[in-house]
Formats: sequence, structure tokens, C-alpha cells
Amino acid sequence: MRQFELRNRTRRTRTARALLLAAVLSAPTFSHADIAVIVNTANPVKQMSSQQVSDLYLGRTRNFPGGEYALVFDLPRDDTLREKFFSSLAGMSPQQVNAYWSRLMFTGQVLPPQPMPNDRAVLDIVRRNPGAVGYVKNDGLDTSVRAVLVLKE
Amino acid sequence: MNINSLFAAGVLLTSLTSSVLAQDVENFKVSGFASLIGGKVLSGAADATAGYAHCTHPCYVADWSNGGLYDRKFSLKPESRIGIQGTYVFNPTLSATAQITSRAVDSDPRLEWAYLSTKFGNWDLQLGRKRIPLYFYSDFQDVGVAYPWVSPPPDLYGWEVTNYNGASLRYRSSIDDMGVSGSIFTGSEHIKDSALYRIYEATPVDIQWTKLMGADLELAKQWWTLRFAYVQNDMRESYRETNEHFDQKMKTYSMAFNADFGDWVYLAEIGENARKYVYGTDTHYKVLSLMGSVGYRYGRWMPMLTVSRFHEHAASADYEVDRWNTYALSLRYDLAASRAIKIQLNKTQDTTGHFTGNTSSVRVSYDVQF
Repeated sequence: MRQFELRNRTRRTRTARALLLAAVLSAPTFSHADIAVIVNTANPVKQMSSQQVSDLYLGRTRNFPGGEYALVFDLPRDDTLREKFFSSLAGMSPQQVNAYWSRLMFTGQVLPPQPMPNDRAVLDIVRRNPGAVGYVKNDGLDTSVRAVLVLKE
Repeated sequence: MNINSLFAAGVLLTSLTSSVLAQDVENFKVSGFASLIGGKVLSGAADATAGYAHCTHPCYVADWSNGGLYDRKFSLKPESRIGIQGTYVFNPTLSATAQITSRAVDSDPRLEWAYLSTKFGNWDLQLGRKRIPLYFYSDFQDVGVAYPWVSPPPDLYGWEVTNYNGASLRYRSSIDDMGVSGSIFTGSEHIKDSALYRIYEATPVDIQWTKLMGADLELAKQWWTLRFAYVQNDMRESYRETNEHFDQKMKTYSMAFNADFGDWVYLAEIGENARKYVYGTDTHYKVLSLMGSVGYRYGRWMPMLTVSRFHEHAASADYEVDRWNTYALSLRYDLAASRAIKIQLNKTQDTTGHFTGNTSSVRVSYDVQF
């Protein structure tokens, strides 16, 4: 019985490795519709889970996983990329996100992320500021920023 | 160490740790909200016997705290309001905020919030003027765009006092995928010529809430949110004409449970407010308030059915208790991410006959956040 369990576990590990390999191989070919969560290249954070990103964008934490203070940047309230971002990240519509933030902002709990006019401006500020985090369309991203999470639409 | 030197130490500490990022922080943020609300009473007895000095029967009390009453005539006055909030961010961990709200029912704009806020990790220490987070919607009941109804049920949200001057300490974080937010607060408030008392008293009454202490805790995970709150305070009613004072001790408990399954939304809240009068014959009084809502999200539409109840109990037979039930049907339509219109029909069933009698009312609103 014990051996059977061990064999099974080995098989599972192999499957996991194969999946990981497939993920690594397919990594550079994200579709244009994907959204990349980006940080500055000087940021020690290499990757983030959607839970960690969601905590930052819903004001549940102010810090990166390593403990550094995060300066969180968003897009304008009615932006279509923002709509896709929150829908993919937290399953929330723009109305739900805004109602959520209205409550926190007008009750002195947390200030919402700073909105930038477009994702070009988000890219610029993340390039410049070591503590910044933002999200942009995942097309033509160069090595001047680091993608820590990619969200599928 | 007094509270001022504690705050000064906080300012020094936070300005040292956050200087690296300060250049990209927007220093001054202005935002606001507005609700244009109109309504009228559709039916009710014109000869209701309740001693409500400023209610032309039949009337509907929509906003107890600010004295917002509707009668047979359509009016925009009882609940329409606009609020502006400005926050100055000195650095990512130190800010000052003020919020001024102007109400159609009240001639002067009022300072609802004004506080300094400093952060230590996941903690926020705030000093100044704030709203009391008594029930789930208490501290944001002016922000119409943030909830599904024209207003949260007044059967729960009707208080003499809504603000306090003092200090609060809040913790916000997450444990795995559960959001946690809890606070403790203390302070006091003095209201001249209470709008709530003006509804049923013929002469002005001043209200003082002192020794106010409270705590709240909110847990949120995926589809549910659970909240508890406790507040205790001493209250003094002062009748100006007769120069009489009446003291009481209050304790308020509340619990809210909200579930959001994407399409279906359930909201429930229960609260108990117990008062012990410390004048004349020792008298206990308590009120149990509750509400339950079920709503369905259909694209930009959200119809919702709400049942709420206000139920008084008094130890002394001399106290004439008020009890009533309210049935509300509301419909919200989202015009944009932060603009909505709503319509709400209310039916109030006055079970003891000491309140406003059975009435029905209609209200429409346009809510915006900017």
C-alpha cells in the first residue's frame, strides 16, 4: 500500500514537471489580450499570485510579498482594460469595484490606487519608480519592467 | 505619553521610512459624491395619532439623523446631498482628510470628517472627527452609489448621533484569502438642536454622547462578508426650554452578513440598542432592529426586496413602545461605473399604531461619485 502511494506520488510529480515545462516553453507566446502586472526591475519580487495582486488592488495590504511598501497604480474608472483586469482578478464589475472603493475612500480606511491616464503612463512610472506596481496590455513588453503575473481575459 | 506626542512620534517615524517613494505620490486628492433624491408619501392615514411635531401626516421618516421627512407633496429636500472630500498626502504614510457635506434639509454645510491619519505597517491611527461605524452602512450612508437602495433601511439607520471627535486605530490585512479589517475607537459628540429630536419634539433638544468606546471587526472572503460591532456611550438629553437634563447609558451590538454570488445578492443585519435611564425610576429600554434583503444582478440592473423591522421593548409600562415593519422593493440601474439611478417603493406597517400609521411611499434617486 505504501509503495503504491509512493508510486502514485512519483507519477504526480512527473506530471507536474511536464506541466511546468510546458508552461515555461509557452511563456513567451502570451496572446495579445493578456494583461501583465508589472513592477520595476529593481524590485526583488520575481512573481506574484493573483491573490497577492488582488490584496494590493483591493487595499487589503500595502506591501509587496517581501515587505516593501507598494505604490499601486490603476487606470481611469471607465477604462476597458481596467474592466478586464478586475473581472479577471476578482470577478468584479467596474460598478462593484467602484462601490467597494467608494466605501473605503469615504470612510477613511484606505485611499484607492492612483489612476494614471493610460497604460503607457503606467509603464513609464513603473520603469521609473522602484516601488511601483501597475498593469498593462501584455503586448510588446520589453525588459525595462518585470511582469510578475499575467492574467488571461 | 499623551496622544499628541504619540502622533508626533508617528509623523517622524513615517516620514523617515517612506521618503524613497514620495516623488510619485499625488499630494492632493479631491473626490466627492452626490445624491439627488425625490419622493413622496403615496398613502396613509392623515389622522395618525403619533405625537410627531414636525410630521404632516401621513409622513415617512427616511433620514432620522438629519430629520429627512416626506409627506404627500413630492419633495427633493429630505435626502438630497453633496459631499466633497479632500485628502492631502504628506507622504505614503501620513495624510490629512476633510469631508464636507451639504444637505438640502439643512442650511449649513457640515464637516462630517476631518482627521489626520498615520500608518504603521497594517495599522492606521486617526485623530480628529469621524463617523461612528455603528452598523454596516453607518459610516458611508451618505455615499448612495455604494449601496443598492435609495437609502439603507432607516429602521436600523436612525440615530441621534452619527459622528464623534476622538481617535481610532484600525488594522487591515489579509489572512490567506480572507480580508480582515478591525478597529477600536473612542471619543465624544455634542449636537445642538438635534434634527432627530426635532421630528417629534416641539422645542429644541441638545444631545451629548460621551465616554464613547467601540470596536468593529469585518471578515471578507470570496462570496461572503461578516461584520460585528459594539459601541457603548453615555448620553445626555438637554431640553433647552425647561433646562432639564436626562442621562442614560447605551450599549449597541450589531452583526451583518452579506453574501454575493455574482447574480444573487443577500444582505442581512441585526442590531440591538439597549438604554438604561439613570433618572427617576430606573428604566430599561431596548430596541431590536433587523433587515434582510435579496437582490438579483441582471447586467446593469439590480432589483431587490428588503424586509426590515424596528421593535422596541420597555421595562416600564409608562413607556409607549413603537414597533413597525417595512417592506421595500428597489431597483438600481448603473448608468456608468460610478453613476446610478434608483427607484424604491416602501410600505410601512405600524403594528403598535403609535408611529406614523400604515404608509406607503415612493422615492427616486440619481447617485454619482466623482
